[in-house]
Amino acid sequence: MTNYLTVDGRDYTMFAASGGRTLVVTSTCPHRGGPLHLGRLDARRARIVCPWHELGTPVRKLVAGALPAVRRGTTMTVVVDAPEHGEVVTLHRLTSPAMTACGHAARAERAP
Amino acid sequence: MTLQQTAPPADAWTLPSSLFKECLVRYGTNPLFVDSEEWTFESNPYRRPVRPQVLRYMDFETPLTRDQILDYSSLAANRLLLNVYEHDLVFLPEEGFDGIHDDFGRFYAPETRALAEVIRPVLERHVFSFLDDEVDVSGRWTRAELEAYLVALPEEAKKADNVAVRTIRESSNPHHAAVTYMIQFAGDFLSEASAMARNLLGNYGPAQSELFKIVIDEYGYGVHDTKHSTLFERLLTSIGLAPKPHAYWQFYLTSSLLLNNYFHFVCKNHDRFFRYLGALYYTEATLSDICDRVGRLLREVFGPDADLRYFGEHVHIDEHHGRMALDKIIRPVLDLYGDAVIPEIVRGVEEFRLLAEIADDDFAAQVAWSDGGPRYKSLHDPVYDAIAGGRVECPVQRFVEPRGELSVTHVHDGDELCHIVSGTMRFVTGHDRYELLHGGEGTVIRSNRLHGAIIESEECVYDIHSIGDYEKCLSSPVT
Repeated sequence: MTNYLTVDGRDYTMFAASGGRTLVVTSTCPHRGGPLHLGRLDARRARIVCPWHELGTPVRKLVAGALPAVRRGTTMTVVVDAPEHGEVVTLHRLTSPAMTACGHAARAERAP
Repeated sequence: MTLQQTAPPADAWTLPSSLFKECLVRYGTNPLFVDSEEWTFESNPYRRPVRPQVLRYMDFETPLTRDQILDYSSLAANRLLLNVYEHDLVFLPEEGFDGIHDDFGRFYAPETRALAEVIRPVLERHVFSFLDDEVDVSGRWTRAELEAYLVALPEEAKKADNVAVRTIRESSNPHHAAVTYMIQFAGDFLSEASAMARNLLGNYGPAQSELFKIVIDEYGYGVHDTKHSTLFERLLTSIGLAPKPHAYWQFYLTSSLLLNNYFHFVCKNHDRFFRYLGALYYTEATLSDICDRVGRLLREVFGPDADLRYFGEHVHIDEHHGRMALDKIIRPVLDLYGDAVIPEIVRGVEEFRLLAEIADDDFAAQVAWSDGGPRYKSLHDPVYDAIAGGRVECPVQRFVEPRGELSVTHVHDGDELCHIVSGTMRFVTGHDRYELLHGGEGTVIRSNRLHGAIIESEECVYDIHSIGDYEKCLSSPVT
């Protein structure tokens, strides 16, 4: 099952948001590009803490920047903006419990 | 003296359970909907059995999950719902109206329609709520993403395997499988575009007129010979089926009813209008390729005499309808109402896709069930031995029925074993498909598989064992 997406060098991961929803959010820390998909959840301050420098990204910011996606059963369709010959790769990656969503197959559609 | 009147508090009103149940039983026991003595109804479009004797035991007030969507409750609710929706449609037979004039009155009676409207929202919630769990639109969608997503759908569909076509090709009886497939379409195609036409009424700008153009195509420009439902009637006639609405009511799979009902659901409930646009686009944009594949298959199966103009017409016109749905309806709607309606449009696409997947799998399983008649009959002995030997304990019901007693088609939620104690039963697994069961014989009945029966001896005594899972009965001691 895929849970990770790389679009022309930009990384995204599946994120289990509240209400049982699964979002596709950036896995790159805005500070120095650390792996947010391996971060831990600071529930009190509602943020994901990057394992590199312990800086937190608010969950609401991740949610606001979620890629447009639709889940149908266990299949997720994500619309991505990539140059014509840019690489789009879906794969499975180890993620932290903070990110864990039930596994959904991901399929990326390339925006024109 | 001055009277001051204040408006009563606005409370959300919910239908009391007792009132729903009363209306449900009253509606279901309409003489048009009781059990029949025939398998088909070729001369009466109002006759649609719903097995009302079981309704009082059903819980329609709890929504079904995806895993339950092919269970008996779904079949029962979907049969009821199709009747409910079709009180809005005009059905008149081409012949024999005098003999069924009373039924015409019953089907359209004010009391019948009132009861239908009372039970409709509960039944809709029962069978469609699972879509809320199974489909989720997330992230920030703008027009650009929607365009990319919609444009990609037809190309993706062309590359996909067509489950129904493959099922028919691989069936041990492709002719029967193809007939079964056409029967699934008959429930919708013989009144084609009726659900869609619900969206022609009212006032909502240029998109309304563009939708009207699609409907005009479906209705053959007012020329009856080119009306799509007429083309489908000719197809049915050419392959030996009765071209009459709901002649094969008893052989509609649950998923076929669900798919047909979905369009009525999103077209009658106008708060789902934008969802309808998504479902409309997906249907129109992918149907050309589907009809091409199905048409070629039907030519292989039915030979040169089959009238396949229905599929040929759709191969041509749906290239245009897909483009019209996007260029002339969805894009102008976005211009007027903005990005806020995009999630609903996307939901409509994916809800329809999910229902179509469920229908494909249901059809494939039903064909395998029909093809497997002799095998499931042969499984009776080892399963019955396990029960008779005490290795399996399960609930059992005994039935004693006279010659001609017809068991209207239905499904069970788990596997069952039918054991004939004495007499003869014609066990029906599809239109014109059956196994004869004599005393001492029987058959495994697979869960969620449509079947019926008719007694062929003076009397038949048979037991139905609720075994749950027949495979477990074939292994070591199980309780």
